[in-house]
Amino acid sequence: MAEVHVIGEIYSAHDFPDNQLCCRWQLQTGGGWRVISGDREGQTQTDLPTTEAAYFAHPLNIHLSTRTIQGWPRINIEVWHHDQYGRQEVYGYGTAFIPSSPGEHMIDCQCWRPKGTTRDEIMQFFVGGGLQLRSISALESPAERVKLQTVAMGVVKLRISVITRYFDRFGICC
Amino acid sequence: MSNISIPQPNRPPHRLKPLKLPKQAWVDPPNPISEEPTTSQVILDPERLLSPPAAVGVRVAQPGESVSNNQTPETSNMDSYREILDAPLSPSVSSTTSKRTSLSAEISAQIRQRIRQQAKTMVKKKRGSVQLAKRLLRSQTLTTTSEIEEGALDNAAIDDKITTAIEAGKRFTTVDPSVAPETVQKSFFESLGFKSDKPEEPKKPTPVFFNRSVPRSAKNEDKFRSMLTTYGRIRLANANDEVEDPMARMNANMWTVTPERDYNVFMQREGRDRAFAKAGIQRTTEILTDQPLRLERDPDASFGLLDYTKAVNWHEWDVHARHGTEYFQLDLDLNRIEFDHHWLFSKEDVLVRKIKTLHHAITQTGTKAVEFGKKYLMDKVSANLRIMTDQQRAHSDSDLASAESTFGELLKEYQSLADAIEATWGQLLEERSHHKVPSTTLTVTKVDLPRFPDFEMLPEGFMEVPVYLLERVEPDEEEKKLAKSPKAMQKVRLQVLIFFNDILVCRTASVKLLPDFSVEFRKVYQLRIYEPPENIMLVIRENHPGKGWMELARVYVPFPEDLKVAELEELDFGSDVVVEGTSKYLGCGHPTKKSPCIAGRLFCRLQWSHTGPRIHRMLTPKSAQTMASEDDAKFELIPKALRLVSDEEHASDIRLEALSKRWAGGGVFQDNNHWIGLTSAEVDSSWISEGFKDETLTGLDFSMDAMRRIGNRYASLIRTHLVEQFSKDKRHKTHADVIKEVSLPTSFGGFGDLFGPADLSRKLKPMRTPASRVNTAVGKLRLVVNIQSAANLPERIDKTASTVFVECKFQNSTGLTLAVAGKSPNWQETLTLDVVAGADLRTIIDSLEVNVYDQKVNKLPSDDREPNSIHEQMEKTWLASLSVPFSTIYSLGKIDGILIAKRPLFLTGYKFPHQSSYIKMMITLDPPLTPPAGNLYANFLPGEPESIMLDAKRFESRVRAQFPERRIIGLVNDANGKRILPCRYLRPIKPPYVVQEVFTNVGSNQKAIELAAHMVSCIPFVTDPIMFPGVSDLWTTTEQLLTIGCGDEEEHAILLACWLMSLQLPTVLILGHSLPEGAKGAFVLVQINSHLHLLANASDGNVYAIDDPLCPLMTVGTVVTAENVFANIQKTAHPCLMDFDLKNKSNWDPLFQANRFDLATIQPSELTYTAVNEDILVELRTNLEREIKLRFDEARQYAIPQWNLMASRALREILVDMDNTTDIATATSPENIEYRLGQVLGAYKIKAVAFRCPFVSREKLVADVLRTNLHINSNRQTQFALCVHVQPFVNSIISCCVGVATLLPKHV
Repeated sequence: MAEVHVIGEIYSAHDFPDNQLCCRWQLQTGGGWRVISGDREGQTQTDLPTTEAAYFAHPLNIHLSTRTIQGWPRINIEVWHHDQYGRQEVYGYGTAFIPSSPGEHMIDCQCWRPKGTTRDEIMQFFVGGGLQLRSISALESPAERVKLQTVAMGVVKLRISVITRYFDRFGICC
Repeated sequence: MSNISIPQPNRPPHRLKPLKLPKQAWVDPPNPISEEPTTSQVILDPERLLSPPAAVGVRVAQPGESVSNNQTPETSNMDSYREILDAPLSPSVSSTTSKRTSLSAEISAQIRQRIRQQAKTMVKKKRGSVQLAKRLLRSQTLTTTSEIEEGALDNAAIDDKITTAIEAGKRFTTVDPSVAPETVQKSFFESLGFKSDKPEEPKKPTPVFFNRSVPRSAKNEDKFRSMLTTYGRIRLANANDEVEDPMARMNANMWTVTPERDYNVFMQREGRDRAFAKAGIQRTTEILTDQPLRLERDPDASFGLLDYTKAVNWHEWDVHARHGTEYFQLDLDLNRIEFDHHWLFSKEDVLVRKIKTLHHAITQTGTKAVEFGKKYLMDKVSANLRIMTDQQRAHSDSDLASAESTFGELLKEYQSLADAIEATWGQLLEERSHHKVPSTTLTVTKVDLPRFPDFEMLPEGFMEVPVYLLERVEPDEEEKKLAKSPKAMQKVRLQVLIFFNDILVCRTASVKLLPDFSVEFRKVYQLRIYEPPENIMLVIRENHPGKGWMELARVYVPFPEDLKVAELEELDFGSDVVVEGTSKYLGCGHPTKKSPCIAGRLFCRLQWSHTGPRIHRMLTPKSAQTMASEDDAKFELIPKALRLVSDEEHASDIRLEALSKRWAGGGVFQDNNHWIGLTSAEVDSSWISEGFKDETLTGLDFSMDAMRRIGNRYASLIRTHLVEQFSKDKRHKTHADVIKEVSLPTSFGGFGDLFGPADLSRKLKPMRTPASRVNTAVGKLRLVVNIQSAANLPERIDKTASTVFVECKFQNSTGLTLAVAGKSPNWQETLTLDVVAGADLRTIIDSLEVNVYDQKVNKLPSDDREPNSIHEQMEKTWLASLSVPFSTIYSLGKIDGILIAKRPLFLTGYKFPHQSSYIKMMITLDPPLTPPAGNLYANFLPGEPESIMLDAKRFESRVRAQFPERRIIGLVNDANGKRILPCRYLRPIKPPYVVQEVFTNVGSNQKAIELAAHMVSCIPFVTDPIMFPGVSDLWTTTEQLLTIGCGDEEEHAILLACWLMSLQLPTVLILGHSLPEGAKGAFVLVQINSHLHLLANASDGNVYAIDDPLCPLMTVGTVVTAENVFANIQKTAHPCLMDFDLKNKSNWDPLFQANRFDLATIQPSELTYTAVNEDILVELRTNLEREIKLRFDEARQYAIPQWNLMASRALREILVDMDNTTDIATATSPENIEYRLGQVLGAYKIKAVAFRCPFVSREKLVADVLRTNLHINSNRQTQFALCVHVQPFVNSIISCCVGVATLLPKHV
């Protein structure tokens, strides 16, 4: 079987309308994958910065093994905003595949939030809160994504190093 | 012609697919063709030009295919035929498809030739002369030199075209790099000897050449400019050569681009030939769709993907978690109710209803008959037409005959129903004539069936059947007044209550009963479902003034199995409601009085809507799921092509197992001493099976041990499972767990310091500063044990003062106090014991062992040859012991109190006081830790009705606010993770026969209670980290407890309480803090008579009087009875100071204001007690004895012990007798023991000790035996005796008595 080590960090979030943010992340894999060690999901600290971007430097260290190359692991990210009244609201969703080639990668995960009806948008502007996806599956299924209208929100940067093992046994050169 | 050298196409023919282009594109070429063929505007057949290798496939498959559409009929046939004749190898081509690789060189040469020829004919045709073609025809027969020359000239031009076309075509064909070029393949297959017979390829000039850098000059610039190609509108040959946007031509709505693109430039660069077909740019056809990729939508349209969520405060995160909003919608379409009988029915109504029912039946029979008839006719006709053997004929004849007979039966049935209808109709008419005013409006008319010619062939009789029509006749005006439905009927209202999972979710409006005894609801009720549905129940009830609401029936509606639109379902219901009949109405429910029961039909429909993928999982029962998976056996999660390794291989990789185990942090990897290598070979396989390893000890395993172990594992498993399932986050950590924050000094604190009491701690005036508690242990954690004093310890018979010391053991460290004389020694000594660092404190299941020994110096036999040496040995005699689990210390933070110590059954040379022995001690941790927070059980399912849940919550919060330290329990968790009332656990359950016998025969209640308590305490306790107080307060039922074979303190107490309740003793369950159980203390309070109350502790079998100030129950929190729960709101919490009158509301705060007797218990009505298997007992006894002897041998390394069998037998007799008598005190009196042992063994000095303990495991018992310290004896002449007596109770509850003795010959 082949193994993948994912070592890295959720580095920063920038270009968001406000940068008081935290990220919830979740590693999503297909059926043939198995997490040997490491957390599958987590949440970064809430960064309330005075700098341009929010920096998390939230470590990721996951060891996976697989029976197939189907369902390559990806990281789903929810960005939450800490507003000035200390409340939380969704600021974006994003998803990024773990690179399949070994080495260090700087990944920009572009995040968006769903755009709602006019009423929702007005509500959001004045009252806060926001539209949330009912199910995170919308990040995966293209059939559901096609129905969404979104607003681009910002970029979450990931720095991920990948170590692969035994893929060459099966004639897969990453 | 074949000797003209041409470049070989170097593609394997079988890899290619012909490009499919619409034919009509070439019927009407997009650009006007220029007249001169030499100026390159020669149009070639595109299929051949653009994909030359494709032509191979096409040609090989269809050698006789006509060439092109736009040939004139007279030439096309001729040309193509001649082509075939000309091609020297063409027949073989079609037959040698399998040898393509070896022949492809030749074939491609032929193809080339053929294309050339084709092109030639086309050139000629374009010249527009049929004559030329004819001349060509002639030229074939008479070959002239001029023709050849012309042909050669043409050939050169055509060849050029072909090569350019091939080059161009390459761009549009995919090249698979993974397949080797043809030449390589050929050499591979044909080995070294292959010699190419094709002509040598001419050497092409290399596409690049080296050029020196030259200084810029005008000349060079000109040269450079001449090398550039400039595209643009100006370069276009003529202005008419406009190319329109091919995309726009396809679908003007979609593909028009703005600003407009200039395709002329594109054309110039890419060449006209290959740029466009009429269908657009080649290869784009596949990706073009007619559907827009962006949905045409209203900007505000919702697809059910999004929810607006308010901004919430961070600490309310959990409340607004996403998963809470997931629900499914179930539509209940409640259509109508039709009554088959109702108590308001008059005789007429009954008849009308009967006619209706009969009509329904006759319609069904009729339909069936017609269908059957049709089939019969078909069969008959086809039987006549088909050709069959005799046997088949006979068979079909018999089939037909039987069909005819069934048809006849159907007809008969129909006829009889028709008769019944007519008879009833007659009765109805008669009835109507009796009453002058008919109350019903039904009429029956008889109609004859229209004649169908098809039915001629049916057996006769069918055509004569009557058909009835039911009609409701509108009454005349004046009649209408009279026929008004009776008043009673107008007042009757019906209502349906909808219950989902036995919870009332909705009630319909109350609806009038219609004159034809039906009720119309016609409403769709939408139920939003969050829980897995179990049932939907409709309660039909009726309201009649004067009678009130009356429940008629409960109807369970089946759930739709799939998501399809369901049919309206007809559900029959009946009722046993009795209503007396009157003159007008028949009434109902009196079978003797000939009024039938209320019956009717409910029409409704259940349907899922708003479904998601999860619904299938939620709905389909497990059996159905497995069935489905069996059906689609072919389904594979991972397609074969994508699978790297098999599942087994993936699951069995030992290294990955070890790695994940290390991550989980269990077993061997706890201390991180093991590194895991890079390959599986470096991993020790024992690490993985480690969970089992530590339990399999050396020596033989026996069944009782295994049973205990399995029980323990199972009990902890269900708890772990529940906790994992319901806890919100498995790593439930609070903020304080992660961050250590020193609280900021408040200004008041500062002032307090300034103006506070000035007396500071001085050397001679020490002050106690409150220890600040730390959240997590940083560095070393130590257990601080302060042994204060002991009371009622066994004293020596020979009146010498005993010198007693205490030994404390925790994990690997041991501490000893100094020896102090006296029967109530006072040590006041502090010991510190180390706690093994590293592990989570919650997972420590060890307990602090405290043993009390009497130490005595004995003389050893001296040797005459060494006159100056004295041989003595210090003998430690075990007097008492107790153990405190670490979890108690950790959760209470500090234990300061009197603990009861367990004494041996008897001990020779010592006299036991009547009271129990106590040790006063204080135990705490250094540094002091804050006790861990308990589980909040927020996600456990409610198991009680809403009102009770609310009451219980209010009760808990109310009392906890007042007494935060007390243990207040309003709800507990059952084995399914539901929160239910503790009252439901209490119910009289018959105790085993032994207890009943003692209770009735001996007549002593106290004895029976002691026996029962002892019996219950013999059930082992669950030892697992999960049992940590507050982690999972899970109570199993008594039946589960006995089946599993182990439980926690509360479960033991419940079983004892249930037993005592069935003995008619007033019993309540007390929950509180006790020692050494800590926050899991559960006692049973029994009233024996008006002035004697006993407190029984089911975990060690001790029984105390309620006014015993030394009772280890420290605080009383909650009292549970079968009807109510009471919280202690008295100032004092120790039972000896408390008032136990539960009716006094100023002392006891009840959960329910009045006792509730409607609480259904979850306990079984009785338990089945099975006797313990004799074989197991014998096995257990012998194994234990052998094991203990073995350990004795091991412990005495310097001398092999002699085992005295006589003494063993004597000990056994004493133990057996002790079990059989109820008066243990006299049986274990020193005189008795002395007498019995001395009788047998006058010649020895005996020191014997015996103790009783529940059988938990072998290791525990062996450790207990070694605790007696008898094996440490350096006298060489010592003999030993040992006996184990196993007393079975029921259901593998076993009590063990162990007697050990040392014997010293007296004559020494």
